Amino acid sequence: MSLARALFILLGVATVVLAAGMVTTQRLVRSLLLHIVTLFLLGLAYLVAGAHLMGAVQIIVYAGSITVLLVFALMLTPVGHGAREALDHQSRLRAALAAAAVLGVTVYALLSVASTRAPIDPASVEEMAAELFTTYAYPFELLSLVLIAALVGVAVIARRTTEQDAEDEALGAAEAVETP
Amino acid sequence: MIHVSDLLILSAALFAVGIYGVLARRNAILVLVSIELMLSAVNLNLVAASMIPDVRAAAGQAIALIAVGVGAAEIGVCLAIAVSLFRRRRTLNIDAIDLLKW
Repeated sequence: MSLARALFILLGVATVVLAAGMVTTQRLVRSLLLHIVTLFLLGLAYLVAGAHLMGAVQIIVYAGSITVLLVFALMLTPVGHGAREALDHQSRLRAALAAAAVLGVTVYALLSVASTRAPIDPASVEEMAAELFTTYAYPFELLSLVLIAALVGVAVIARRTTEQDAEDEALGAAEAVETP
Repeated sequence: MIHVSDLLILSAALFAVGIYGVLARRNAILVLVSIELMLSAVNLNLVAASMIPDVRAAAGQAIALIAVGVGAAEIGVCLAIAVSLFRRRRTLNIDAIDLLKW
């Protein structure tokens, strides 16, 4: 076993353990922090596996900016901070069984394909860039359009107007009547 | 050398953990985080498939990069919906958000 493989397996095991901690911890903030570390380690795993650009993007976009968004959303929705409100369903065992079933079937299917047992052959950044800016140039440019559309949509959805305030109050009053 | 199956097994394990999170969590933001984890697993799978020597293609990584961008847009919209929903319903418990059920 080479050093790279040992390092990758170590990173992989750490990633899965932290991810498991993320979905089982009873603290919201701890869960998000574990999410950041999980995605960061996954980015490092990409780097070790030779997918350099993907690793860099994973760390910058996922571990960096998306988790900032998540923390912001968490701070804007103050539920269960410190109160240790139950974050889990009653059906944890069934969820674990479903996850184990998916894992078992997927791993069995993956390992039954002979070509997956070959050593990896990662494409270099140059090859990727050539592909991205020739074959996939239009989807790549379209992506910026998708992002700007999403940004505008987010601004509209999350905006708060005075009419909405009045509506919210009316809704709250109606609900108070419905549920004594 | 790292084998393709190493990446694929890591991806499958992360996906399974994500499934557990989606099914077991009750807070909408935590469900979203678990979906995010599953999306990362899928990207890893795509990258791993592009590294198989016989079918070697830079396209896998290129598509995964675009998927990351779309995922970023998606998570932004989802969080805006979560914040807006919290304002209206004062809760993020997905058992309580059953407006579309009848």
